Amino acid sequence: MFQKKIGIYSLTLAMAAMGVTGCSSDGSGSSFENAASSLTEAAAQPDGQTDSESLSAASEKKNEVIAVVNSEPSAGWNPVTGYGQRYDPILQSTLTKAYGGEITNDLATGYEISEDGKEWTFTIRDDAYYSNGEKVTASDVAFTYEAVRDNSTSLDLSNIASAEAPDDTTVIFHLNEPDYTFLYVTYKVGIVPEKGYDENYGENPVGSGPFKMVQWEKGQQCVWEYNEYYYGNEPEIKRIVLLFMDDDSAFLAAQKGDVDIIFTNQNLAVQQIDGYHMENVETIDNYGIIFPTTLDEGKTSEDGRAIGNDVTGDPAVRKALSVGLDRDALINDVFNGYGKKSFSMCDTMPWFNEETALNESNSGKDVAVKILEEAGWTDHDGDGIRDKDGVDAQFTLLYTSSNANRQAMAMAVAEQAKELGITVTPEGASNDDITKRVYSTPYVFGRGDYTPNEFYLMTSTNTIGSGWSNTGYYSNPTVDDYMKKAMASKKIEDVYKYYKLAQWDGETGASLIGDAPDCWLVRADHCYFVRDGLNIGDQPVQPHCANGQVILSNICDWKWE
Amino acid sequence: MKNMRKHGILNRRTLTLIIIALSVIIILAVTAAGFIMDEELYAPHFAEKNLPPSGHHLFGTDWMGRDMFARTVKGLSVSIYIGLLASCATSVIALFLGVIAGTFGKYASGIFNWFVDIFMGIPHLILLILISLLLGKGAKGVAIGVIVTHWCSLGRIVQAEVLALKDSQFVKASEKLGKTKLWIAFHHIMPHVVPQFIVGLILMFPHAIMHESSITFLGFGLPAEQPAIGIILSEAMKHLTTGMWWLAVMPGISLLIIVVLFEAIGSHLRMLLDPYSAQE
Repeated sequence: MFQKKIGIYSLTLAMAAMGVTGCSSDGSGSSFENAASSLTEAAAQPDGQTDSESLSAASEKKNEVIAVVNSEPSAGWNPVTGYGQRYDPILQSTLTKAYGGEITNDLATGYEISEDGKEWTFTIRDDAYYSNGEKVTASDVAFTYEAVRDNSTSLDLSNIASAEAPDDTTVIFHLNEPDYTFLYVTYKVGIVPEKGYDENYGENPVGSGPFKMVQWEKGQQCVWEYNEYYYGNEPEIKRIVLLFMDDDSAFLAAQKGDVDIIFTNQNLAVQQIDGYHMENVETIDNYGIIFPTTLDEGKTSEDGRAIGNDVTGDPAVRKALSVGLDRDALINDVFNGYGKKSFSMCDTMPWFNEETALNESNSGKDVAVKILEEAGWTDHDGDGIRDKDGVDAQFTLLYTSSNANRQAMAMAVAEQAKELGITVTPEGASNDDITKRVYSTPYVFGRGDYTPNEFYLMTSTNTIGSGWSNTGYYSNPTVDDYMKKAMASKKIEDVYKYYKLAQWDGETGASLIGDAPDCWLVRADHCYFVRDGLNIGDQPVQPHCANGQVILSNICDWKWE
Repeated sequence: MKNMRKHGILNRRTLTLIIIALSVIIILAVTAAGFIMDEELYAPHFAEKNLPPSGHHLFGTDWMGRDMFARTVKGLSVSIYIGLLASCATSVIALFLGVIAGTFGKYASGIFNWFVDIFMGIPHLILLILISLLLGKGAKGVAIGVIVTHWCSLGRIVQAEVLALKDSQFVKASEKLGKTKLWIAFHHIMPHVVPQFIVGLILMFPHAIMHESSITFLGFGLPAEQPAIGIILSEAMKHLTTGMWWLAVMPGISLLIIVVLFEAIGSHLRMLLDPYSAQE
């Protein structure tokens, strides 16, 4: 009996101990212990200084920044396997940049498109060198794009038939299909040197960006220093220490004053830290609900996943939720006010159709109820839930259970939907489990980038069933036609024009006042605690980025004041 | 008689009975309250989020404005329910296997011991996580995980008891009278094992409850929207940094109290049932 007692109490103690050391359930960050050790190691500088004074001493020199982000790229700092596709890779340079959606030259000095739209000729600058002193040549660019096409799973470059470099500063891309929106992939690919590239590149990246990597301890920290061969303006910040921690550890590190800038979540953002201020950056990091748009006809996909949902397969239900959910309340309740209303994948971008933004006359509970009643969704059997043809207006809403924002979003949507007479049942699951059910069950999702391709991926008939793109089996020939025209447009203004029409042409479209294949609700601000005196420049609207590294995109403009 | 006077009006036996009764009532009340509770009581009310404990919200509210007292009670009742179910099932396995191993000679007890060694050799928690994952998590995964892993020690106790009984006179006599081993097992041995078994069963509840909470805490158990105590504690972890202590402390203490109550029932029941202490 005594032993049993011991057993029970030690179990209780073990629980308590788990509580203290804190295993992060989402698995994204390091534990407190890890964080602590990475901090001490951050203090251990290459020249052997180990005391914490060296930290503040380094900061006093005003050319070093210690930044905390959530995680490192799992496959290393290699653009070929996906690094830097969502934010400026810094270690490598790209042909163009797209801060805020406007494309500007970086490595490229200009481009020409052939008459048929299938041949893109880029000229690149002559004065670009890698951090090892080697020259950046056009054949490196051709090599990189072909390697990304063949290796990357997150960026689809299958339209590139081949890339060639007739001389050192000219690179020609031959496309399979004409695509005038090809420009929007050129900011996503960091250039790697053809000579010396191998599968271990991600561990020892050599690039032509403003910084080079000098040290990387996996899971703990990464040290970058200024690349003196960089062709652009010399930044004031010469050294960056990136620490990898989860939100809680990062917050504690900032409270101790050990770091200069941390990425944090909207729950911690309402706190105050002495010596730091909050910078919340506007984003196109859209949060919303992705709907199955077809009815359940018993079909399954090739890999056996059920397709369709009898409730959200009705556009009236999707539209009613899109216009009826109170976005202001969601911003306050879920994101503590750190967010903006979201109406599509395209908000704030030059190709956003302003007509699809909701205003007081076409949104709200009354409008939603009217849409539902007109479509025949009324409470026939008096159980408080609307129904139509014997089907109750109820569905399960999946969310990633490790993500507190998405959970709160699902719960808040369920509460609001109740008032519309629709029963929404939130259900937490891992992303793997959600993937198995995406074709038949609505889910909470976050997405957004500087390219109209995002809108294409979510709404084109061609992208049905590819990864997280168009999981709703949405298909509208008119929308497809507009997007085809956009890709065949020779002027960027026409690309914008046709993408606007694809959203809403007055009669139909893939926006929330059209078919509403998805319901975007909030653009969540990215929140950072920044040490007073650190100027992080003008931050453009940021794309969806889970780990916060996107803040470094304009590192060359940062300075200590 | 003198000894009894020292304890005041209540003699030890009455006191024991009262403790058991009180514990049972509290546990039953929590379980029942959880079952009949209206979902609205622990639904999110975003207007009242992150409130510290007060008269209105006894245990405070969390980051979605859910009342933590209601959630804790609901969570405890879910845990108790799964714990009871799993303990009962696993005890039956333990009783059955233990009796068979004790009664049917060398080979039966050899195989039994081999199984027990295997299950005891692997840490409970790891085995539980594996089984729960294989069965797709959720209440089913947790319950079956606990059932499959927890019968060993109780099974050993039952087996030892049976082995001791086997040499007793009445069993020998029964054998000489030509009764089958199975008949003896059910008519002579089972009744003697029952008191040990009942106490073992009750002492297993807290184990099962703690293990259910532990693997749910680690993310391998019940789903996140379920108000289970493991979920509550793991969510609370994310908010300790901001000083919202009540999210972890109040439900944690509540869980501890329930575990201690079960422990009290078990050990006091043993006092009553055990022939050596029953007459004290």
